[in-house]
Amino acid sequence: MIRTLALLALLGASTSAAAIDVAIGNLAPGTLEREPVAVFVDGDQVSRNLAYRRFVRLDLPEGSHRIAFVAPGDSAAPLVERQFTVTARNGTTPTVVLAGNGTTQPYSIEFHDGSSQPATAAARPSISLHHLAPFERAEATDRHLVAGTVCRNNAGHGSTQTRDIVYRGEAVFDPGDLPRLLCTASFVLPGVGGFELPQLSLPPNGVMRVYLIGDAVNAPFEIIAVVGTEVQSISGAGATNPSAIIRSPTFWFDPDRPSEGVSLFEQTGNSAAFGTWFTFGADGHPVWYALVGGTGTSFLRREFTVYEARRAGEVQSLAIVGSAVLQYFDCNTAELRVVLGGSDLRTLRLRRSRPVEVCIALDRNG
Amino acid sequence: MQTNAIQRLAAICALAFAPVALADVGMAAGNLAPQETGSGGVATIEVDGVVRADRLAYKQFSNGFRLRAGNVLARARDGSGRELTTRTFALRDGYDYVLLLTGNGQAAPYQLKLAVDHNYPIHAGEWTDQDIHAAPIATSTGLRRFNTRVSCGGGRTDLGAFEYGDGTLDNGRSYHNSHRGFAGNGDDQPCIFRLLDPGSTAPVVETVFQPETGVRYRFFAVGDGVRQPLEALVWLQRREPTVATVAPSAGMEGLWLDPANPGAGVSIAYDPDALQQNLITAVIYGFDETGRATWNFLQSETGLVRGVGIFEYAGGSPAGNRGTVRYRLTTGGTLEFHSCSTATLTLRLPSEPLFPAGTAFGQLEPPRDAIRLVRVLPAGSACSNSANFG
Repeated sequence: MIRTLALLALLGASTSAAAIDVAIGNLAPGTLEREPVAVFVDGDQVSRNLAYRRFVRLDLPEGSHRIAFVAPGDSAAPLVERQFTVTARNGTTPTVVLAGNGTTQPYSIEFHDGSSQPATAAARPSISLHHLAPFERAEATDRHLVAGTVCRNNAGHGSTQTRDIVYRGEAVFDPGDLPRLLCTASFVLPGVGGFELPQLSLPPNGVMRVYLIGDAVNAPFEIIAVVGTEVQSISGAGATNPSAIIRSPTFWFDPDRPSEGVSLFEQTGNSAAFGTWFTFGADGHPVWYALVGGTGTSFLRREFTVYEARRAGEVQSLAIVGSAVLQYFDCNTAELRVVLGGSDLRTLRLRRSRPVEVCIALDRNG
Repeated sequence: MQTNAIQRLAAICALAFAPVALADVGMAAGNLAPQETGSGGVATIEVDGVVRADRLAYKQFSNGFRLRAGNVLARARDGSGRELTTRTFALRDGYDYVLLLTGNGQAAPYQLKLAVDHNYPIHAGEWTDQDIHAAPIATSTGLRRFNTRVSCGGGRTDLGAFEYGDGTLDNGRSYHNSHRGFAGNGDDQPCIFRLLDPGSTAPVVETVFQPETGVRYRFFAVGDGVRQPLEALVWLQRREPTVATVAPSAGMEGLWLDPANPGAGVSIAYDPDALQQNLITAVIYGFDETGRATWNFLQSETGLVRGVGIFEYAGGSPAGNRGTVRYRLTTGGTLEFHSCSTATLTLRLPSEPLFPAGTAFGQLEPPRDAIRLVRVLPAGSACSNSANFG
């Protein structure tokens, strides 16, 4: 506590002197299991809970500093620590990020102080792509990625640039000085596929840092774009709930309950309907139910019996555990009310994850 | 009318998520036991009192036959009708087996051993093998071990260390190593199946064969070195149609299931607007190792590491609080479409367990760990039209 107060006093004093904004981020998917991490600078805790994909801002005086990232409960043994030197540079926010996952790639601290940015007399936009996706052998040259940017203004003028990049590498691109550039950043594994993040609006006189992160084990691959400490954009692949990822006429989700959903089918030529509801039990365990039913008392209403399956060795049982009513409002919105065990009422206000213009549900005559 | 419709859909539900009464199991029998000379060397194999393989010569295999699933009593007799051994096996619906008489009554007792066929598809230009050590050769340190190798043209595949009994259920697995059979292009190139002493590069015995595509081979080490010489035996077990691979499309959307794995259902979604590597997503319904219904999330990842990633959401609540949900990879694999109505989901992540605890694959076990999917909704084998979904 005293040390923290001392640091705050130091920071307050230094703000009036040559304090420099420093961005500190956590891009280490290995910390997800025990997030958030604590951050210590020069021995003082400056962030108690820096979650994955988050950044904090810190004013630090020019000069040498020591930073340590510590997992909760492990204060005696930081995940990793390192010395770095803060220097004032044109339009650049010195950035320190935690990377790695502790398994396929060790934890590391990456420091970007702008020294690799284009040397221009006046500050102007630049974009740096960083490969911090710690998959296995990501550092090997035979697993290099191609980092690229396509920057265009609304007249179609601009540039396309690419560069090979390996884990912990940085590819700095100079988009030029055209106004109102919109860029697409990409990381591609040649011959296989890649990820891209479009519609990036560069800061007028600063550096946008675009990171490929995730290890597909602890967290999915995704691209995150950061200016200073502000996360500008994240690729859709990083969404951590099914409703943000599954786009299909058969899948329905409640926006307020994005981690569960319903896969729903209407049978043509009859009034039958079938669904699976994937949700969670009271203990947090993922559980699914089968919904079997058909047209109810009105043609927009479906009544289901809810089944739960269990399996013991070769023997499988299907037990009735409740009932459900689905009320369509139109082709793309509906409400599902489920009663489990006679009393557990759950209501899902569903939206079809990929809307359709016509549907069987509304074509029936009851 | 409504009752009939519900019954039809209930049948679909039962097909997808309840026990499927498959007709039977497939089996063939083989005699790999070097018997004493006076016995004539032949063996007759009965199952539940019915002769299924009559007077098989040494290294001879029977034609395939069908059995009901469940517990069966197998018995082997020598040429004089004397009982050599009996054993009870539990046969699983939809599986294919090879029942083998092994041992020589000396270094290893006569014993019936069961090997399970894997259910991996064979692509055009491919063949597969499964490998069994049935050579009871005594040494001062126990039964002789080998390394095994298949060389085809300029390439070779080391199949790994080979102990007596490997490749049968007695060793708890049907493959002797993690390669789970060898698939390769055998066009116009003879192959050589070799047995080597551990640590040696010189083959002890070898067999040259001309592989055919679309064939399931079984490789054996046989002979006891006394009554019968040690041999590297290649058995052409079965020919079967090869499968094609087609690109995913909107026609693949729908509910799929594996008839041989009741309860393994997959709801597949195709998003034409997604990035190329994320076109396919799915929710997989299955059972964890305790038999509890559970689900996982599948995302295609033609990007960096795998074909698909299988992810687990855990810690959710009925209120759907997204902040409490933990999202982690459980395993990887491939999802391969052969048509709009057939596909294969295989799970594989070399550095991790195949079927981690708590996932929807707790009931699967190698070598039957490929999930051979057929689409049931929308009905029919034609490529589905999203207008039919409801």
